[in-house]
Amino acid sequence: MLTSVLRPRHCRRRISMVDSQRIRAASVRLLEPYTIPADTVYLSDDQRELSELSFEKRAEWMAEWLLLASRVDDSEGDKDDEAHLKP
Amino acid sequence: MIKNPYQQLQHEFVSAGAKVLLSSGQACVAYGIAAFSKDGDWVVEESETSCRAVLSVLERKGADYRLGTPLDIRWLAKGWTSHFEYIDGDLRVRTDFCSRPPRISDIKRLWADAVQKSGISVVDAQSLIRLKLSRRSRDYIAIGALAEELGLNGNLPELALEYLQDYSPLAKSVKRWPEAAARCDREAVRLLLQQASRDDVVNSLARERDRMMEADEDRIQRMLHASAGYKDAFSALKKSWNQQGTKLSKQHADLCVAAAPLQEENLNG
Repeated sequence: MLTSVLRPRHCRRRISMVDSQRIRAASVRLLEPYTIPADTVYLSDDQRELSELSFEKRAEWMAEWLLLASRVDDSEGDKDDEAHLKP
Repeated sequence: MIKNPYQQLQHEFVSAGAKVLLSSGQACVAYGIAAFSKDGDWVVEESETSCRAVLSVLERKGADYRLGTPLDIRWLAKGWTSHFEYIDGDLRVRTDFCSRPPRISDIKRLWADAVQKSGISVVDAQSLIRLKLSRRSRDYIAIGALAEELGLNGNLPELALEYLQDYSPLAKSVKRWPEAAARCDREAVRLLLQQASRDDVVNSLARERDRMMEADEDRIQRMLHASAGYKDAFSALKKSWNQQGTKLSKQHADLCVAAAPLQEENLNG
């Protein structure tokens, strides 16, 4: 079933929305390991590797990155606070 | 095994009685299309129970408020957001909450469409795409990647045709699904159907992206304008909390007073 919504003022056109059942099934599929095609224009080798991991392994990957990042980013403090006061 | 602090935190929120959905950058990582995200973003159910539960967990962690409004339905319902941080070992953990995410018109559907894996509830991928239509250029890589994987590779033409961000994959989609393309209102798709030049299609995609970025920038400027005096009040409070080692529950009470005028401003829509 195809449903649509009217976008607000910035883009006054009807956009197609995938129905709930299909979008939930598609979302669940991405939470499992999958292979990104080699000809993608969007993703890097890192992301290709990540997509092939299980949900749990992706979480571990993220944790490792956070630890690495914390070693080089220990003092950013609140300099981006304004960006965080956002609706 | 290294534990992911944001997923751990989500388990604790849920155990404390909160309903939350993993969102934004961490959701992109969960879906395997972003390699890294520094902060944790959640959509929190707009209820006193959920807000209280999240605050109780964050207080146990020794969290402090960052610039933002109180985690309270009076502000959340108006589209305002709440931000916290704490140190966990070597990590600075930053958490962001909203209950009315931008560009999501149907909140009930957002909750109904959420998916779960290993006890973690995540916003569905279509809503994630809409959340990412922000002022930041890098978000459009994530949008394109989701549209490519869900749409082109996952056989959901609506998503491919609406959200692919570049000429080649969009042209491929139009060729594969001419009937769905004929129903699509997107200018770049119409141009492809009319066999317009590549330049025209690329220009259309660039204009569309710029309009989305401008709309998000307008939204943020509206918020900054509405909260012009609040930033100084928050800074004064933050200084005092730091000096006195104020606990989160007291910070919350202070912030509810300081942010009271912002309740008049509805940022939704």
